[in-house]
Amino acid sequence: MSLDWLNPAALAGLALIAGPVLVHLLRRQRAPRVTFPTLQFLVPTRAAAARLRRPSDLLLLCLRAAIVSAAAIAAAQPVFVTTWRRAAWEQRLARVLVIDQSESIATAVSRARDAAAAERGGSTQVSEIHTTNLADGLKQAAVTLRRADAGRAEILVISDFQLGSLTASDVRALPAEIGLRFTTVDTPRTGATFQGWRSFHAGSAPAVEQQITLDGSRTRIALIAAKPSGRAVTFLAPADQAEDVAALKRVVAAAGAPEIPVDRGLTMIFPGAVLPAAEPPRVLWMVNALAIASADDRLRTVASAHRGALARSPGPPWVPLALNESGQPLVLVAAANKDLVAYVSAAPSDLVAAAALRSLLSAIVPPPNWREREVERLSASQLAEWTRAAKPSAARWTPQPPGDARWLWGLALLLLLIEGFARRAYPTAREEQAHAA
Amino acid sequence: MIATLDPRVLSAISDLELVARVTVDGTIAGLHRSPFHGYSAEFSQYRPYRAGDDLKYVDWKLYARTDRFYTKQFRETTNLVALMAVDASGSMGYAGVNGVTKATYARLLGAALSHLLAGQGDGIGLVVYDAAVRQYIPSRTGWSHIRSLLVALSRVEPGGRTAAASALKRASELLKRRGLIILFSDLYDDEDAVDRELRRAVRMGHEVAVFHVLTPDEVTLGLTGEVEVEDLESQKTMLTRASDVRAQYQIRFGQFLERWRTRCAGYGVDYTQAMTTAPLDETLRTFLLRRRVAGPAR
Repeated sequence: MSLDWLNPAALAGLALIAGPVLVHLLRRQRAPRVTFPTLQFLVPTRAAAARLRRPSDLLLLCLRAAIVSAAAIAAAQPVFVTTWRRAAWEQRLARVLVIDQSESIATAVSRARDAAAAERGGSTQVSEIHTTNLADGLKQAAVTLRRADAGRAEILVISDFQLGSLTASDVRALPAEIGLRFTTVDTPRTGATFQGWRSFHAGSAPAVEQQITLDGSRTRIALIAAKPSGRAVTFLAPADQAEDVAALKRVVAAAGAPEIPVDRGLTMIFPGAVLPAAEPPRVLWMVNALAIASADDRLRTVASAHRGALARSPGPPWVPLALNESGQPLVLVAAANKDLVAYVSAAPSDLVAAAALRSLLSAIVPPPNWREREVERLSASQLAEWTRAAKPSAARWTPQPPGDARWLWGLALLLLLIEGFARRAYPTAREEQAHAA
Repeated sequence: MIATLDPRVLSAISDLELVARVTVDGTIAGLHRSPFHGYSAEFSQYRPYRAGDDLKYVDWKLYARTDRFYTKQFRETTNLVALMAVDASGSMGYAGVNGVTKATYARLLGAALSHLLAGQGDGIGLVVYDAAVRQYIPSRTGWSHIRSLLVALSRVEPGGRTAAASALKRASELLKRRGLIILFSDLYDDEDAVDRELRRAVRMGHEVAVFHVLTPDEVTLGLTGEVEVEDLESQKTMLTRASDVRAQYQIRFGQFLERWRTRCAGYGVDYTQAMTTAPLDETLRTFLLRRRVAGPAR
């Protein structure tokens, strides 16, 4: 049997024992005064040092110190960890339901809800995590269970288990004592063929659209002709560079890039053109596009290899997107007239202009959620392999209220009664001496 | 005879006359006659007969032997005149283990003696003193006088310092003729001064009896542990540990008692130690028996 505390900070209250000790020591410092007919036969003694060493009324002092101790310990709420208490603790189970809320299961939400409801009974504590990413859900569940007041912990994943939604490494990352179970919600494997990008086109070239077909483990992407429906990119460059701009568009279209949607706009500005009144990009899609484009390795590689002379770059609120080899801003972005505006300190014919345009187009168009298009499922045998039972763990033990403080409070009360009785039954040394005198 | 008269019981009786009567009756019952003597019809001397002398005073036997007439002469005839000097200083307010203060014990003893003397027609007076004489009642006879004396005794409240010497001196002077001075005191005073006045009183022809009133606690030092002792008269304090000083205290106190016993014996003063725990009749009987055996000190 061991001992735990629910409120160990209250043990600091044991320092209050000093109170009665000091009171008894200080009270002892003054000897009781008694009257006597004459002092002529008495001699004075020096015993002050002895008085300080020995407190008065040791029995009462012990009782009072014991009362303070019992109260302080009771306030700290001790919990005696007995075998039966430990067994009861290990019987308690904390369960986290990780419920898939991804697009793929949208058609089976009610069945997932029913499965979750069926799992709520029988366990001590149940909490739910709704997620579109099962791997993140598992991590979140592990964190939740770390704080759970139960001897055993279990995660139940309710999902259609698309292939790739969970991996062996995700499962291995969980603590070994946490149990893991899976409840599969069957969903129709529709959407085997769906639309991908609508491509950026230039000049008289026809617009094309991706058509993606998932067939078991095989994927086919077909480009089919489509009417241009997106919004065109605006180019601001000196008139003598019009040919270069057209060439730039053709190159990017040939390389493959998405067409930007109608609710977003992009303006490319080259040296020599008049700069519009700009402001820092604050709209969410602009900020996201900026973040994606600044992480584009292809653009950074091309920019860092640029060695030509640079035109004078504009200052704030323009934000550098790519730097040349000497660390000077080569591509800068800002917001103007609800459009994302990019200034390229190079001619439209420069490779960096093409890299910047392609990178910004890809960054502006929201990436399709390819994972949700997956039609293959994790196999039942794989899920069975990952399934495991919850194990009790000593490391999970946390003392649970109510502790055993009530016994200590009872003891303090009993001691208080005894102290009261002792105080009346045995007068203090002072009273005794006065009485004797 | 009552076996013992517990002072604790007697002190609880408010009627001092009753206490005195009970005490005296219980005490005298064992004695055949009072040990107090007056000075009546005491033969003094012969002188040669002169014409006109009363013939009844002629000593005829002497005439037969010597063939001369001699007339017998006598001293003045009188009863005993006594004056009680009761110490009412603060130290007399100390109570022993039985809760009877020394002042109370002295009061009871005084009442009993007053009753005894009044019963045989002797005069008795009272001096109550502390630092000075607080009250004086001249010696007279008669029961009405005794009652007023007992009332005065019952009102004695201890307090203040002691000056037994001046009280003794005053008592000696207040007695118009030779008499008995009875001192009730714990004698915590200037010993030399008291001693001087005792001798003076004896020289003046007075008979002196001292009741040294004490409690057992004073004799043995009945304190325990470490205490701050406060003098009942001077209010001075002293920090002491009783167990450490008890032996030395008892030696000093024993010497104090022995000094007084010796001193009184030397001057022919009747010295009686009166413990407040001792039965009242026992103390009184001890005193009376000693007087009967030894007779008046003079």
